[in-house]
Amino acid sequence: MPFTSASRNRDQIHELLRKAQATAQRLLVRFEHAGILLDVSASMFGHETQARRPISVALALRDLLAETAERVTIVTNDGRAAPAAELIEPAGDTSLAAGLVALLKREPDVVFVLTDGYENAPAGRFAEVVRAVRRMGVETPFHQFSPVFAAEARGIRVLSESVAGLPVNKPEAIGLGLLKVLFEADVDRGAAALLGMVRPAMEGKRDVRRIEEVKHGVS
Amino acid sequence: MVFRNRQKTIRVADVLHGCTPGRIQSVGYMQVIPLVSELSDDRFVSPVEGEAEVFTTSYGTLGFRNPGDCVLIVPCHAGYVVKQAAQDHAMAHAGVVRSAGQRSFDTAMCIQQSQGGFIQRGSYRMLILPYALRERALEVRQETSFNKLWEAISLFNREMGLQAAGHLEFFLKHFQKELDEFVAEFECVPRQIGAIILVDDQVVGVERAPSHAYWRSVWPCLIRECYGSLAIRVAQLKGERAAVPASRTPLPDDIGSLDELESVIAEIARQEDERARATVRDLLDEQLMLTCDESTAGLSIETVQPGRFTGQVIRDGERIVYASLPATKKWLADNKWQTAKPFAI
Repeated sequence: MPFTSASRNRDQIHELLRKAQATAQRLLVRFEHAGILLDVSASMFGHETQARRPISVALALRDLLAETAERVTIVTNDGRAAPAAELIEPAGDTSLAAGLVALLKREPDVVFVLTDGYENAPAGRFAEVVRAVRRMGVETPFHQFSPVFAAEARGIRVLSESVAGLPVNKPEAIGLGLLKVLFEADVDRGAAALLGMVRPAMEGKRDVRRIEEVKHGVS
Repeated sequence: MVFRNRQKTIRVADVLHGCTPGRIQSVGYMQVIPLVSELSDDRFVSPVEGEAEVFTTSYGTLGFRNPGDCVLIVPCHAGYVVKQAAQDHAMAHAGVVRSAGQRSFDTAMCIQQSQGGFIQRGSYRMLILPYALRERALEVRQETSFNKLWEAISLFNREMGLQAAGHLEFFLKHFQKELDEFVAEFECVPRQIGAIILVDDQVVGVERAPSHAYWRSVWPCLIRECYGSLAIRVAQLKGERAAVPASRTPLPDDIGSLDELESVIAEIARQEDERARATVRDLLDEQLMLTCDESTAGLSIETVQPGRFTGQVIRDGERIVYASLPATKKWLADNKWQTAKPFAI
């Protein structure tokens, strides 16, 4: 989908949002306040053979994750507060550290970092900030989701050794990954979500399609 | 422009005219200071953006057909490693091809020793020769000998821990993953038309293109094969994990709040920005003695007499439209010696 004009693509955006809402409802995972740090740097353009695939996956993930939360704060790597459902052309260098701090000041209960993992302004600053905030006692869970081609599903580049990284090929198939995130953020709510997923099967109302989708959520 | 004895001296400041330094990018042993500018001369295209047809007609002759209305500037040491059964070739210097024109350079070099065959007309992925080969390639730029770079390639391969042979593809295949990563690690920023490249805290190159589009098309070749190869070599010598470069300030350990962290990050970014500016400032008065090699389509191709930098500059009158200035190996070695710590016991 070209990123030429947001108004021109209004119908398509509306359709993508509707898809994000429908997918989020199927996930049965809910957060109170999600923080999303979105990498929109030039490398998110991806390889010319599948141009804009990384940014497309990241934007779809952003919209999906936003729909799983009662409240969402989205910040781009250039420090800009970004609304959901905005098409963004990747450009510029990658500095995610200041964006992480800006997000944490809004006190989310989880932070999702949507990035290809290539940080350069400078490399390693994000990891330094993670160590610094942990020393301060900030325990908010951080999760890195990285767009990948199917063939790259192993070995994503992580920003920090202490931040779990999850490769994402299809945004609609991140069910188990999100469940894990929810457990880490709040065990009770994680258990409730898991129960919500398996109860229909236990009660004989098994929705095989839904279970299979969740099962294949982690690439 | 009149050349007295076909020579002229300029400063690096002249090469950087109209540019300002962007935010430094730093990964491992490599740092890049982007050069951004409002000046963008769209009269010129690279072989990549101009979709030039590339071909060889004999060993040591590399041809370009420029199908467009713009003048084609073939970057200094552009090369082609092709999948077909044909001998890979590279330029020994920069080249200019008129709009809708065709030109063959019989000073080109074979970079694949034991492969026969000519490159069929077509568009191929371009590379820029590894840093370690560029000085030698420039020295022999006027010789017409297809095998003139084999020995240098062989030495380069051996230095990199590979089979010593005049096959550049040995290096490219062996280090493909590492080279690919440089392209993702160092990103083009808006309005960028050039860069100052540092490896292991030393300026190893100054590059300038006529326009942002030109720059975007050649940057992957520069960062991947040319300067990326040097960063790989430094990592071989010093270990995979780079020490924090002098251009970087690590976060202190005793930060007590998010507000404090936010202001520390901003302050460090300001310091790093200032350090990048100082690096550029230190280069400005560096003199470059140019020798005019040829003039085509109103453009003169001038070669830098090796000093701190070697390489080539292309001018349109007084205006520098293209420059590729790798630092000389001798200067880097001398500088390393001079900046080493004095003896102490």
